[in-house]
Amino acid sequence: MAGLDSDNLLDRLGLDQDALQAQAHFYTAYARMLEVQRSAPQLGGIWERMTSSSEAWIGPSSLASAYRLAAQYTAIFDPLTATDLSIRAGLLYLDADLPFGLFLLAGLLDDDLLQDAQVFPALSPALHRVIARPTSADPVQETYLALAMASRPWLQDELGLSAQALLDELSAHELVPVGPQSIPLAVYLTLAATMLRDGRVGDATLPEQLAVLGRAQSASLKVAMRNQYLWERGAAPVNILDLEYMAMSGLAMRSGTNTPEQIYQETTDALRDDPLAELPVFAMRQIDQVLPQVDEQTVQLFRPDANGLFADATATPRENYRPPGGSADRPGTYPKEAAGPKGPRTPGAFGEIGGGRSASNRDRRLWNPYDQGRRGRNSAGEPDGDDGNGNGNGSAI
Amino acid sequence: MSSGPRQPPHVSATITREPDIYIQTCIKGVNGITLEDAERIISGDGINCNWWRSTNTISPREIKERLTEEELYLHVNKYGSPHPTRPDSVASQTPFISLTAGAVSRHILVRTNLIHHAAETALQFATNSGQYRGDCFLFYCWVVVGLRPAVPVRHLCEEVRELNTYRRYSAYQTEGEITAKINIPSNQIEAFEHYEIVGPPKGAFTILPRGEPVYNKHDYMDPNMITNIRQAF
Repeated sequence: MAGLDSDNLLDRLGLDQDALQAQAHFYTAYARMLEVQRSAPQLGGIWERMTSSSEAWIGPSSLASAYRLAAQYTAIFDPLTATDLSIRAGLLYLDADLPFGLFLLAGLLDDDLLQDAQVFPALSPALHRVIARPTSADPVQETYLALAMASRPWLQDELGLSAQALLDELSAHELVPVGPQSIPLAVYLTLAATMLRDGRVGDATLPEQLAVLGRAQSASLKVAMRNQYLWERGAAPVNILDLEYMAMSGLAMRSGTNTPEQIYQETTDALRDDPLAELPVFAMRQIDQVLPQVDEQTVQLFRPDANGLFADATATPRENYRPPGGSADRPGTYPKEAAGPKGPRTPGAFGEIGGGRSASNRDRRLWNPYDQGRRGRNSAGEPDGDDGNGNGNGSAI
Repeated sequence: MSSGPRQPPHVSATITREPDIYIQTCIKGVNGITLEDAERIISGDGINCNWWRSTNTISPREIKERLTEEELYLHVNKYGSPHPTRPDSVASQTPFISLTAGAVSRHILVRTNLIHHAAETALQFATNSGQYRGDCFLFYCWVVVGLRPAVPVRHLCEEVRELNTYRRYSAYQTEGEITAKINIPSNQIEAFEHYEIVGPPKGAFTILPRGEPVYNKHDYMDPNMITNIRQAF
């Protein structure tokens, strides 16, 4: 099998498109049902059952997992909708007090989005809440935190944490299995250290380390393919695309002086003998290319409710995002245009998607912590700056 | 194998600290039946395996012949294929009943960030992985599960995830499929929930809960009544 191509990805993987879309729609519908029940608990409903026991964490965790699974299936054929679903998953992991949510968001989103004036200031209080929770002290969750900060060093100032100090502490847990393939924590720590140093640690570059993760995922996929019935229907007990490895690729793409295209090319070059192992970085590149099309409706997801949770019981996940030539029943192909290396994105590169009214579907105002004195915090410790609504001096929430 | 003298059983026997069987609550997702059918299930019919439903009559001897590891393998891994020795498909001839159980700890979630709640898996069965439209039902029941494989023992259920090639998360061993055999009596079914899957034949759809859960007021036996807890009096 030669390298992956968006035009024939499903055929190359031997997946049934209708079944795969049905899986994506199932997890989206299930997540929506839970979210509706979360906003208006119904006696005897699934949400009520999940949260009525002493283990109330099951509710938000199940919701986050459902959006994650929806995003993973959707990313195979519709990267823009997958981005919306991934953001929901990331925010709901934060609702479940898991730093993994920040890891996902930092990996999947570029700085244009993550530092948007409507995004990071709204996200910041939740991040501070999460890192103060006991679940954040688990070595695995601390590793996700360290990875996010290693990719985006400015997060260290925002969170009042040092990525290097975390990595030093975590070295005591190097053999703990982590992630979808139960890889030793040391692999993740090395990747974080490499990003922090913007280069290589030992003999391995970032792309080479991503290739190791890709091969581990590929080995699982090949085992799952043996059960042809489940595999074709996207029902094999394995994540065909794993959001975690996609986000890991995204973190690497956005770290230091790397560019997404550079990381993509070098990783796929290292995987010429195993194209299946390219899937995470391939899918991450597809999402990276559609990020300029993310619009205001999706950005509004970052606005927490009165309880500080990212509730969204009213807005429906985007169903109108379709690549060119696609329809609700028959999505088209992925956009073929590659984003230029760290350059401005091409306006209208994706045809009619979302209207294409500007280089971005939103008029983005970047929230730059370095331009706002004392890392963008006022005396109350809240982010300064534009809240995205034209109010230049307040918090976004 | 050593031909030396056999060890006395009380010396060689493994000391088991955990119980060998336990009671597991499970959910069964079903579609293609009516609300009246669902009410009949909790009022006496119970949930029967497809083999029994398709052939109408089965005998104890046939049951004994069919509860084998080979049949379980077919049920888990070849469900959609033609049965190698019987007419029709494995699906229509299986003597097993797939259930899903929810049991995942916070510790597991923190390590994996991904959990599958039992209701989610059951709804996935009930909606045919998102391809079914119409009424579907989740039945809440309890079964007795053996910690070790005991396929020929009709009244013990199997944790079949162990048989899968899948080892991605150990969490799946506790939250995945439980396989019952032949029949789940109605007195082990506590209630059912009614859902309607609304949407076009293909594309996005909505899962709508229909009313409150319907409880088995006929013959449900609370498992606490039959476990070895002796209440003080």
